[in-house]
Amino acid sequence: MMMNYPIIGGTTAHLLGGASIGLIIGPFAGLIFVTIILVLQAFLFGDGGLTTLGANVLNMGIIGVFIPCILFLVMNKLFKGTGKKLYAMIFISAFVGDVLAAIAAGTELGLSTPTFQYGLSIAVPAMAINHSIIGVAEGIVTVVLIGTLLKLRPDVLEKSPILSKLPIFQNEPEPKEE
Amino acid sequence: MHIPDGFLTLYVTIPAFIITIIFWAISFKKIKITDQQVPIMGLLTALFFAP
Repeated sequence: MMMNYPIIGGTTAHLLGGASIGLIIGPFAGLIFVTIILVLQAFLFGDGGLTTLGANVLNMGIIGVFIPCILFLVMNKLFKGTGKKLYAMIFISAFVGDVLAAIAAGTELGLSTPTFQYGLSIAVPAMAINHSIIGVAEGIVTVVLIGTLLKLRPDVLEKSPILSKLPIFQNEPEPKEE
Repeated sequence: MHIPDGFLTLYVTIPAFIITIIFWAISFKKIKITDQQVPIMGLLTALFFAP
């Protein structure tokens, strides 16, 4: 979240990583870690601020982490993700989480009209349209990260509260000792 | 997406802080991490600090 790319509309876009953190170690732990990142960036690097820390954690920590996890669990129940379907599910949840976080940030900016110059009708589309491009990159990064972990170290993901619900981990036959 | 200081009014920051504090309380109660996951969480936090 440190490298900010300036976008049209006077704000910046960056990768979130909330979907990866949430899917790998669970949404509750993910919220704590995003909070740690945001506090460090607010105090040390001037990226964000202390008074807006609540809004930033609400956008990136709560909406950006919990929504992908809930969406992934719902899609896992509906489609039973295996193979390419699993990668599509991870991509969609990361993309939707990123765009929804951007829309929430745009809504907060648009609602505070006396201090922020533009209203809802300008702030929300500016954030949503530009972040849908970043969201594709975010989805690809998440699919590559989790796909690599699934292939090389599935034992790491076995204990995560979200990804352990996958049918790959649940149908595993236990070795019988005789 | 980081909103700087001074962009938001009090009518937005205070409800955002209230929602966030509720979620923080729930998360600190429900967080469960095994010993094997501790290095992964440090790695992920460091990884997503940068890009």
